[in-house]
Amino acid sequence: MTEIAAGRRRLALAGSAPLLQVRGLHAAYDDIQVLWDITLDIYPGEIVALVGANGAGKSTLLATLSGLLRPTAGTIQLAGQTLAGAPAHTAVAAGLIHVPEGRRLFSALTVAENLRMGAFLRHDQAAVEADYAHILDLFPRLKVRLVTAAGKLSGGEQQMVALARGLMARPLLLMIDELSLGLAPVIVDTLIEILHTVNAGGTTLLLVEQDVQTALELAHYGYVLETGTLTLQGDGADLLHDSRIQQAFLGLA
Amino acid sequence: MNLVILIAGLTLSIVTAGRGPVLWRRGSLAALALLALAAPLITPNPLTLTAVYIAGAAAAGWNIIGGFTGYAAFGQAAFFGLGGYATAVLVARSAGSYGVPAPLALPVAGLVPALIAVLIGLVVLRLRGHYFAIATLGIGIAVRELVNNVDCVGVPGLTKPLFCLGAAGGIILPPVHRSEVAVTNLTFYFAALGLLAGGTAALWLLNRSKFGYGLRAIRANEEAAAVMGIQTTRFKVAAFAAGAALTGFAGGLQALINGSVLPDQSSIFDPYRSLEVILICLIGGVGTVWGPVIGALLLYAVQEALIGLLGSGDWRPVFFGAFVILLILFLPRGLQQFTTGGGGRRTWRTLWRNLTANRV
Amino acid sequence: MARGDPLLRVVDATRFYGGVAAVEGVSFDVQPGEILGLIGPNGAGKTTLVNLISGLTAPSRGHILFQGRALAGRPAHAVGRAGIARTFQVVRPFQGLTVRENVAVGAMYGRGGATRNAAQAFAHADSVLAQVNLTARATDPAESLPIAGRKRLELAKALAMDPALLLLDEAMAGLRGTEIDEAMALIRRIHATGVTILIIEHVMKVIQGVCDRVVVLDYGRKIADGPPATVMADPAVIQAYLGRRYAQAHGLAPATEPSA
Repeated sequence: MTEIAAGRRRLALAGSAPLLQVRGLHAAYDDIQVLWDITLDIYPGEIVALVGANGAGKSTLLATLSGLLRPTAGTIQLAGQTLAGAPAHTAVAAGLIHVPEGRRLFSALTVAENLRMGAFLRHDQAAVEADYAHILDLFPRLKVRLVTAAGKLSGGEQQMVALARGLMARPLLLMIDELSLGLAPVIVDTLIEILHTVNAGGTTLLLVEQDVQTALELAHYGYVLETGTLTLQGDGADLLHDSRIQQAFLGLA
Repeated sequence: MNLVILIAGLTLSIVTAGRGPVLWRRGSLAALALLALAAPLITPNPLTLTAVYIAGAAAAGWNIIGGFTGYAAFGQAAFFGLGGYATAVLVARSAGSYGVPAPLALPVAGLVPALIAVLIGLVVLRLRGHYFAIATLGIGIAVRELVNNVDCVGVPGLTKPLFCLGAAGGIILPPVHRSEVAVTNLTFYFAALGLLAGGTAALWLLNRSKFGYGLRAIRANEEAAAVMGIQTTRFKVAAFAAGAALTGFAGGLQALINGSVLPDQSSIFDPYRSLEVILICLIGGVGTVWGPVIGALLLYAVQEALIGLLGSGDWRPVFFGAFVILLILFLPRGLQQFTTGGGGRRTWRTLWRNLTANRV
Repeated sequence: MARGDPLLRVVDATRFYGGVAAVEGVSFDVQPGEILGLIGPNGAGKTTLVNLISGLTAPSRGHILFQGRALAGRPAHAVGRAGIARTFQVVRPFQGLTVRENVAVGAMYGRGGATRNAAQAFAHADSVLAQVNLTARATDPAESLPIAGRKRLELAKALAMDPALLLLDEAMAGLRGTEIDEAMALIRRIHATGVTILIIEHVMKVIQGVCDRVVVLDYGRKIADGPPATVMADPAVIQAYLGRRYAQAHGLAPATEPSA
């Protein structure tokens, strides 16, 4: 994997331990291998973007990290806890929350109920209530929609519910698959602003995006996935100005 | 004595169907033929064996649609019953029937279920999986109810009825033979044997024909079969009809043996037939040439043994349930999986692997 | 068919699913002897288009002409017998049949199928197996092959149909490095025998390596059509793959905004 500009920002973080540490991860559907030797780090407080063309394996990587798919080799550690091979609820309990592509809301449940579902594994009732209030402050549009069935919301509002539901679990790391897919640019801008606020509050974010510009502008650091292998990494701004990213997306590399 | 013959036949047919040396397989096939021809001399009552052959032939019919084509039909009893009724209408000498000699009536009797299968198939074979299974389950019941409520059907302008099914009274057949009972039973025995042999030969031919490969391609993946040039609808309907004809022949022979066709559940439309044909194929190997023979022999051997142990009485429902559960857990692809999986420890490993596999 | 006529002509091909267009107004020709690439981001409608051509899906609108004859709306088996063979992205070996039997089914029912009996079909299957280098696995169950082998089997089943046009839906997906090189070499060998090929592919190296021309789909519409090098530099294509904001930020936005 090529590292651009020696990871300028990363140097500053070299002393701290990564929040998520992935080493030599391989994953396959039956005997069709999709991921090869994935090694990456996400440091506490970072926004990391994972970009790549369709079919590169981005969603597979997220599914493997969140325990939906068992890796065939390699290790995943979140805050020192080993996750590889553990079932999905272990990852959730450990603080790794996945906001899936297409949002997967409980469409018959209300917005409020969807948010409550996000705190399903939590027992600290008082803190849950505090988070609920705080998260609604982040998403004022949801406040007026609390008793509406999630399935009746617009795409942008549904994405907000999905993010808010993820935050209700008080994640150490929130993984967002295709934040901007199918949403109007103005909605995407709103969501980006909210994510900045969330990140400023201390939540680490992993963003998986097909929209390269959106993802890398938002992210501190980025990884480029190409047909199952990480081929390029570096600070978001540096990646944006590297012509190799175009080649990677068009599969010309 | 029947139990011994059944077990001997079972062993020989498993060897015949297996993957042993050609000489072994040919030898056991010859021995099997000899055993079948000589059995009436050994056993005091060949009617039990006759029942086995009829069940096997009916199952061979199901195997064409359910096994080779992969469309699990749950209403094969309808075709068994229709074959029986068609034979009765042809053979009986009462009003609305034709008094045709039995040997001439039987071949025609297969055509009626086949024709009806074409009509039904054009509709239900558009359904897949569970939907098809449920539709055929309904047809199995509906056909019997329909037959039960039809007395005579006529054509306007004709004084005589076209045919009479006798509604709730059924149809009584004239005795087939004027000779003594033993000779009659022997005739039925060889007729049933011929039917099973013919059915198995038909499966053998099907297994290596273009048509058979087309059916198995449909079973594996219908869309992939279609893009390869297979006219899936036509093939499925043809398989359904061919299977109905073979099962219908078995039903026709059963009607002659019974001497009557009655609409009640324990007669020719016994709904249990629908399950029996499936179970036989499951035991012997779904979609295989020898599956119906092996399955029928084993099923009836176990039945005989149980009756010997527990006394007569209807034990069928009990051991059927147990049988199905054991089969699906240990041998989802039938006894042939056991025989072709090698021997000794490897076989036990196959059983264990099947048990622990997750099947959805 | 007159000289110089296209082998396949797709005119205004359109397919709606519940009011949403999976493919809309797509037109292009495939010339005899060509290898045409079909690319586009996920959900662009590539597989839907192949389903329309192969008769698995009936178009909502438009025409598909093969050797001058109308195909749209004809059943899949008729398309297969007319000389169009296809592979599936998720390979579909006939389970329960051996590798050789799988290929023989293609020889029995494809374009040349009517003239062959079962034995002749098996003989033809053997020659195809040799062509794709699967002879050693001929008597194995199809499902026992590793992925690269299953991909080759998928190709062999289609080839056994003696197609005039071969549609390859992601024949490389799941393959790596040398496997891809081998598969590319195989595609070139098949092409050399006179088969026209339409290939859907994510791996652009393959498109560049084997295609004479590329058609690009995005959101169900054709956005580019031309030689690979030209198409890859097309701002509309870059935008489709990297997003509008990236294209704008890098001065690559297409001259005309695509209509919404």
